[in-house]
Amino acid sequence: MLNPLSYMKPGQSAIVHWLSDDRAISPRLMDLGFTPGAPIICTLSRNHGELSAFLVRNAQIALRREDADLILVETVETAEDPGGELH
Amino acid sequence: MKTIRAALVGNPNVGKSTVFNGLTGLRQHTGNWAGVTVSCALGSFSLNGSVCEITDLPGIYSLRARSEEEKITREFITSGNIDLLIVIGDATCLERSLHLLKQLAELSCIDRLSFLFCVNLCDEAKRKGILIDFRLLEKRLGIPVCACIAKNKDSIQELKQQIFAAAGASRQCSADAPALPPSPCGGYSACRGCTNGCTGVKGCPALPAFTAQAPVSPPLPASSPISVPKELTACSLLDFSPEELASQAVVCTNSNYRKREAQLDRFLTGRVTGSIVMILLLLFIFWLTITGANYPSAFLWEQFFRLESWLTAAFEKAGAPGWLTGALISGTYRSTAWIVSVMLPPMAIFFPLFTLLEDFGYLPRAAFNMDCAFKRCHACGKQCLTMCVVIVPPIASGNAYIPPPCPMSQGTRPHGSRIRKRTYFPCQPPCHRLRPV
Repeated sequence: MLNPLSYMKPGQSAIVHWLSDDRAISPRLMDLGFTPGAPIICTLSRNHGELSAFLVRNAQIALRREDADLILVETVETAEDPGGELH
Repeated sequence: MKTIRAALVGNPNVGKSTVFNGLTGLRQHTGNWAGVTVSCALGSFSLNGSVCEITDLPGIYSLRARSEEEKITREFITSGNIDLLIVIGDATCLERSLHLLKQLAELSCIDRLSFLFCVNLCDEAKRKGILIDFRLLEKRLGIPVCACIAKNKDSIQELKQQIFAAAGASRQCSADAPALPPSPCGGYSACRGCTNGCTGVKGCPALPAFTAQAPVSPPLPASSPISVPKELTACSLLDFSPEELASQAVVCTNSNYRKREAQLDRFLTGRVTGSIVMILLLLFIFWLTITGANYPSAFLWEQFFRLESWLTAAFEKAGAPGWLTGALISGTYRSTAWIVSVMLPPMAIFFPLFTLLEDFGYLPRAAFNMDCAFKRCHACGKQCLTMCVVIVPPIASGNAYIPPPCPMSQGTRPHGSRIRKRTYFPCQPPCHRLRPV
């Protein structure tokens, strides 16, 4: 199932599937590594996804909800991930 | 001997300016955040009699110029005024650097630009347990690759030798290769998709098209459809897929470091802990600045006062009229002395402390904490740092209030705020719609 990126919770991993291009920011998001097929991990989240940080290509990038919603991802269930044991 | 013209390019925050300073001995401003360098800096160095002129360019994520800095960088690279492009990579996220390198490789068809891939931050990577197979990189990329620790003198010396070796080899190579036919658009015709219709670098309609295809495509098979002219492949980059190459060349031996980092991040950006840590840290710096500045302030004031009484005595001896002594000594001199002795010490204490926080990488976390609050007033989190920088020193220096350069004011924007503008959230946040660059 595809979800907007802002639905992700810390510790979850996902694969980018689709990127909207209706805002000027989307090419920039692509430059940062949010390209279709790219694996990403949500590391931090504030106010239920109002602001979240993602591990993309080994760097952490924070996005606000309106920017994160431009990206659709498929969540991958993994047994262990970097943030998974930190509850 | 001919001077080699080289340029440093790379993603933001990979340490280009630190490498530049190491090579040239200059003191270009550096910092542990993205977008510190906003314009080109020129320097030079020599080794065994040959000279290399080197330009430090602002960091870029891709060649699709969106911000002013990216435009500067792209125009510089495509201007044809350089012989050697030194691509600085980050050993801790090599894949990012390879993506940029690939885009740059597509430009190598202009002017027979030669490349040197310098992987910086190797000390950091070693600390994190990341191992990189440099031999494989060199083999697959087809260009010289060197490991580098920008703060290490020996490493810089080695880099200097590599630069001259790379530049020397390319010159020999380009002498052997047959010359390209003259192109109608300043060298661009060699690029795929650029037809006779284009008029130059700035107006080249094919430029967005051929830079766009690299990052958009999903993980590529090793053979992607980029045609590099046959006679150039010998000196320029081989074809490669960044994802594939990064996964082959990079081995992560210690997966625990991310776990520890994630734990620390959660603590520093937690709803409660994050705010407490931030307030305590700021209060501590505040306190250190205020109490610490008292001593040098008192000392400076004493010295200035001694000089003042000496000056007054000298004026009296020379028979100067009272109005002159009053205007020069009690007026000009005393107020200058007062401002210097009150303002200088807090500045001298606060800024190094702030730099220390920056080097630890705390500032992006603080910006993350503050972003939600700043969003409500249509600003972005990183502006809280600008706020700290411009507000704390004047407050710390007591009642001597000098209006700080206001970052929100229109017109002449101070250099610092422009730097901080593009700091933490690399994507242009909404506030930039209010203040177009």
